[in-house]
Amino acid sequence: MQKGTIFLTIVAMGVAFLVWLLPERPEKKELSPQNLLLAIKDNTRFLSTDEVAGMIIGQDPSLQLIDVRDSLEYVKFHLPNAIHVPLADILDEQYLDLISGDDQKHVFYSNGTIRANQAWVLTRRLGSQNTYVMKGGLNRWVETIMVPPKPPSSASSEAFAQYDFRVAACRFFQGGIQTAPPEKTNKPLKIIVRKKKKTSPSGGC
Amino acid sequence: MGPLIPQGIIGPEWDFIIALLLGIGFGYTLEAAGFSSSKNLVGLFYGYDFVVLRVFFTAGATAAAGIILFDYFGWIDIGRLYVQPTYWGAAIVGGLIMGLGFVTGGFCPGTSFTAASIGKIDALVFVGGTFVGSFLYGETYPLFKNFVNSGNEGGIKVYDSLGMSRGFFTFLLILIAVGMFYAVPLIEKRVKKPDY
Amino acid sequence: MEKEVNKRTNPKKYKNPYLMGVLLGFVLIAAFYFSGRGLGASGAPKRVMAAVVEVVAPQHAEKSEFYSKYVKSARGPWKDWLNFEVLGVIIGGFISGTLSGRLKVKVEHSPKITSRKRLAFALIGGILFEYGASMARGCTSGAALSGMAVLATGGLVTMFAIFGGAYLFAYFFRKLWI
Repeated sequence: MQKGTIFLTIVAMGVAFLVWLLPERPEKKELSPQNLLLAIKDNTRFLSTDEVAGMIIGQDPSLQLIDVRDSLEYVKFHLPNAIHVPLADILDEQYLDLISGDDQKHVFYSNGTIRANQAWVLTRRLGSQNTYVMKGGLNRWVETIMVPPKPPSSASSEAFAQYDFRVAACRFFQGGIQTAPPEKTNKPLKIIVRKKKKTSPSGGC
Repeated sequence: MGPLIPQGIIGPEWDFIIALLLGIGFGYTLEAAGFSSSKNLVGLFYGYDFVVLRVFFTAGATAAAGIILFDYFGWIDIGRLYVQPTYWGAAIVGGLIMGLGFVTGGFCPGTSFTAASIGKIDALVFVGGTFVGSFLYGETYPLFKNFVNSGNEGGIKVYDSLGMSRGFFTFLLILIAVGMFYAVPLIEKRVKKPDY
Repeated sequence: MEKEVNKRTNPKKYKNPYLMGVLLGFVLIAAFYFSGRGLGASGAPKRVMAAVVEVVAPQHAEKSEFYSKYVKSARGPWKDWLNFEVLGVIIGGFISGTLSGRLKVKVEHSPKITSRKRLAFALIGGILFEYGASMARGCTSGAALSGMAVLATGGLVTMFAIFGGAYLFAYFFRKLWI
């Protein structure tokens, strides 16, 4: 038995023990149906229209609005800075990459809640973590932000504070539309896809 | 961090250049280890030369341990690496056919390219055979389509299949490899190496 | 042990198999680090064949479920990672062969068989290997070696099947080699 052999064996076994003892970082994986069900029951994915409006006004850099309606609807109206990912194309790799990033809050919205919710379920199943749904969608948006109902005089001060916020928000959004050149607001935003256009590597041999 | 190209950290235009460089490294190590001679390769199956086992398991264990370490230090994201999907039936039947091809042809595709590059005519003919093989497979694919595509279990990992932790499986892999490296010279000593 | 090994396996100054194994392991890690995938070999003939079929019989290539996958891929069957990698394998093998003086045009065969028989079996072996590799989605490099690097079940199953199959059939073809 040679010294070199013993040395190499020790090195190999050292690496082996090291690999065994190293803590594993959790792998990003698809969510199992069981865990998905738990996530669906949990209502923390819903953001109210007020919260979304607040984030838009506060120019929260972590907010990424995602319009999942079809392109006609999107061109007609969409929330400021929302990107357009039709529900039918949500499994497209370039969009999935965009949505799976942890650095932003990805907020889906549609006219109601259903389509946004479907987009949320699909992407959550595929492992996206930081995804949300704007509850009530654009219908609720119009009801609450664009035409805020005045609370009755008997309502709590909180309700009035909310109303004041909504009126201010309404002015913000309307003002935005009036001052900006009209064609600019109507133009669908181009999606900025980070360079990772390349599809995931395929095929061994 | 890594993998660099799929994540767009360096441009896709580098992909082919890197592929070429990696291929050169691959071809160099194969040839330098003696894989350009089918006499050395089939020695594994007749017990007179285990160079294939030595190189193969050293490389596999090094890469497995290295990738885990890279992942630990945050240099590579294991979840983004290509893991070939597991189709049990196709993998076993395909593997057995390859085994038959190995003992008749004396090469595998990678080694046949390196051997052909240093002038082995037998390797060149083997390479020719791989083209014929692809053509035949292409023509007969509809016959086996259902079999080949059935039972896809996705990119599952062997430690999950065995119910072990990743670290422990890799530990075992290295342990078994080192154990084999100590054992095979005992077999080599007893078997006469053919002279040619 | 080391010396012993060198004497037995390196009669023509082959490099130490463990050193080459570690080196190959580093190449494999680099492949995953840069390109997110392992090494391969059998995929190249497949793509080249698809390209040839497309030139010779374009309609057939288009109709075939198998070739159309490669012919219709975005960059076509030629501009593929594996083709460049295999080109590298040929260059790398040539470099090593040149440096150690192993360049020689010859048919290597056991003296007990004719070179014609050796070539016939090489052809059969190539056909079978590629056929099996297409079925199992990878060969010794693409499935077994790269699969071991990422601890893929499919890769290790393929590895056991290849080596198991070879041991199973080795007895019947022993006259070719020993």
